Amino acid sequence: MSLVQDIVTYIEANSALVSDVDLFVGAETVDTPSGSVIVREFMGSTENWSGLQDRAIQILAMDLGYVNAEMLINTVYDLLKHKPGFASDDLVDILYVDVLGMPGYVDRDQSGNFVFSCNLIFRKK
Amino acid sequence: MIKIKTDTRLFDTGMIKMATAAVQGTKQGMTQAMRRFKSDALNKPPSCPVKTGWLAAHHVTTVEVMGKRVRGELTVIDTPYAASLHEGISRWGTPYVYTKPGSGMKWIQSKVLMYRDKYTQDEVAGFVTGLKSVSFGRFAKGFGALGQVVSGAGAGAGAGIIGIGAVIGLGALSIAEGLIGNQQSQGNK
Repeated sequence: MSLVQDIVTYIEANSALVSDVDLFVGAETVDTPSGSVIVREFMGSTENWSGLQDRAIQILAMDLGYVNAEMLINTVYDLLKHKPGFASDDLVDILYVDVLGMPGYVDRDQSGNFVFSCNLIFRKK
Repeated sequence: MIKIKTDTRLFDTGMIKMATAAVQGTKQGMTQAMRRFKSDALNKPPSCPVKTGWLAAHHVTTVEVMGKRVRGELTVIDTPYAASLHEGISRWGTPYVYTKPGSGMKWIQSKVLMYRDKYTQDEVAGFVTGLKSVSFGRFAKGFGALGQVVSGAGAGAGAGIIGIGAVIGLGALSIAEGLIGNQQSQGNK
């Protein structure tokens, strides 16, 4: 499966978030509820001659409450940051998860949700 | 009895000169790297979204020296919507449509990942040029050889490059953070 899908599976298994309910792959849906997390890959991923990949992953958390949104992003961030691999059947071949951008408030979306974003680099073989 | 007296004053002066030249050279290299970084952010896909040109015109680069550290920043000023546009979320009531072909979200952060080696090379080139420019007075011949080692593929040069690469890596990451931080403060106004 794709890396993004694997990450979502891992988050689902290690938190209270549920895939396709409040945890989404790729983008927000039309009726994305408050209290949701979105995982997606953005441009900038690279692969060198040895096959080492740097995958650029963005985590978005949105909630109508500022504090809730912040808690949500930090929950996922703590689950993934600075991990030298994962004890998971889904998320394999991860060498390290580097932090490109710490969780930070970005703006409010069209539904009024407070949106927090953090960016991670998954170093993968 | 044999007495040996060593006078290291000229050597000490030379080392101070070299340290200064290294910082100045690195600053020049960083300036070049930031120029390239800004150009990449504005022009290479995913490039900076353009509608009126305001956003693209408000990318500002700065280079500052703090002791022996050189820090470069790319900041987008006076544009409250820059952070949400960069993070690719639709803002209150106004979903974004990227009208310019090749433009899109993460036009800055993606360049940090894709072209960081080039920025590091600019940095190293400045560092080496700075060291080469050092004059050591009557020890010129002796220390001239040091310049050659640094510019060559010697172990000394290798160590220097690794050290600088790490610094640049951190600097480049803070560049994108700078933008987001700036826009947060703008948005909170």
